[in-house]
Amino acid sequence: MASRPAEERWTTPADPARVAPLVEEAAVFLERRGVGGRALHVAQLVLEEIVSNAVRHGGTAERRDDDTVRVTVRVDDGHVHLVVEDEGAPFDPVRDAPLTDVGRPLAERAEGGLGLHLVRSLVADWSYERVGAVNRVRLTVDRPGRPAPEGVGGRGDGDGRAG
Amino acid sequence: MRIVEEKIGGVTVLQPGERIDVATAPELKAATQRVLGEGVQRLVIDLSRVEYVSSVGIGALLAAAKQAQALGGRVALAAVAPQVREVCELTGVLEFFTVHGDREDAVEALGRRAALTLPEEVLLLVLEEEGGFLDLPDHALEHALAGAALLELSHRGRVDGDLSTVQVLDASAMGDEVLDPALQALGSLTPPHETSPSLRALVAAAPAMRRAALERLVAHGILGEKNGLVSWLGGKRRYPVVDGAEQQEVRARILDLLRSDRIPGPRDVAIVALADACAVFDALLDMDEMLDLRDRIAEVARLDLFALAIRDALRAVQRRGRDEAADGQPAR
Repeated sequence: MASRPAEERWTTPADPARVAPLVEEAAVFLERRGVGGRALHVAQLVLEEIVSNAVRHGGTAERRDDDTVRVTVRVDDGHVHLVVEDEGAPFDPVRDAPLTDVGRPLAERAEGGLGLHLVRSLVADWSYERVGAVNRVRLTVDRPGRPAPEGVGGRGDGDGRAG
Repeated sequence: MRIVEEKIGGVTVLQPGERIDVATAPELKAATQRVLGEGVQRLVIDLSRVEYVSSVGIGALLAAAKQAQALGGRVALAAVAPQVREVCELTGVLEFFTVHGDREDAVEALGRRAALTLPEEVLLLVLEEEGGFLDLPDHALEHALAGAALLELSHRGRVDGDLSTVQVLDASAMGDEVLDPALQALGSLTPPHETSPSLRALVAAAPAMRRAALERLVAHGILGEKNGLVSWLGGKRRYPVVDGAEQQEVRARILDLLRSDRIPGPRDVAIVALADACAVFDALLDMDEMLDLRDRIAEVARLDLFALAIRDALRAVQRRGRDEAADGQPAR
């Protein structure tokens, strides 16, 4: 690999007010590691979405005050890898992401329900597993324009602009 | 987040800060709600400082579009970064806004659009890109302009109308070159007016309205003028479209409306009713699509009773004109 993988972890209380600052911290880390443009935007957006979900679904009946959300961000030459873990009730966003009909007329459009639709549309890959009492969501975001490391398959897709 | 608010002419500009996320989107939503709630009809959201928009931010933009639509206002986006644009496209919200390169363009476009009267919009609807007109029946354009003037005056509270009559509330000149000839024509009638005689009086004023409307569209830089002097209906005078976006906007807006099941604003209802009365859709659409959209066109026109009355009166006036022409008698 051309440059060493870089990784950072955060552990934060399952508190809605902590979501935006955490995403900003992750963005600062990613920028320092040379991630910019679309990859930086997509990484922040999916992180905000999944962490918000974790906080929300963590707040179910068995919620304890010391519930936390753990975020791991790793950068390599071709991708940004994100892992979000929480101790809330089992929730599989990959399976349960609502299908949002974005072609509906304005009057019928809901303001919510766009987040997981966007995650599904924007990530290169994502998966969910329940490990003991922990929800773990892994997401991979492409860094277009960078040569993909050998063995990962050429996912570089030019400037990455859709359409 | 600091949201900078600025008024430029009749347009309000909101410029949010760098991040529209779960923490700051509620502030943007509150700001647009307040501004639109205060009666602002033309709003530009200037995204030039914005680097990041999350799904909650998209929700705030969607809320602004919905509120504007409900209130008959318009919202434009300016300076949308590529990564923000992608997210707007993926969520389908981009189609609810006009999008401009920078705030100046957005302000100018919204300001100009609001300045257009219905007669001007009808002219833009029937103008072809390269200049010249759609192929319409004789006098259809004059009839459409007459109806457009009546509906514009009704929107501005100068006339009131129901299914069979037109009541002139105030016929004094308003200093508008396009609408004043219409007010003058209506003022010369003795009340109460039935719809058809009112329209015939306005048809007589249509050439003056058409001339004034074209001059104003040229002055606004929406149309260009070359090889003048030849009469309008002779077809040799050409008004090539300078600002294609403006004309495209009227035609595309109306066709998009018909192809969707969106609930239109009152101005678009008026344009659909007028175009329907004057065979504009027959010239604009191929036969298959015309058949597909026939019910939708009727449904839209029915949303405004006065527009519907004018559509039917225009049809009657045109039918009578054709019959009289066929009988060799002068059309009144």
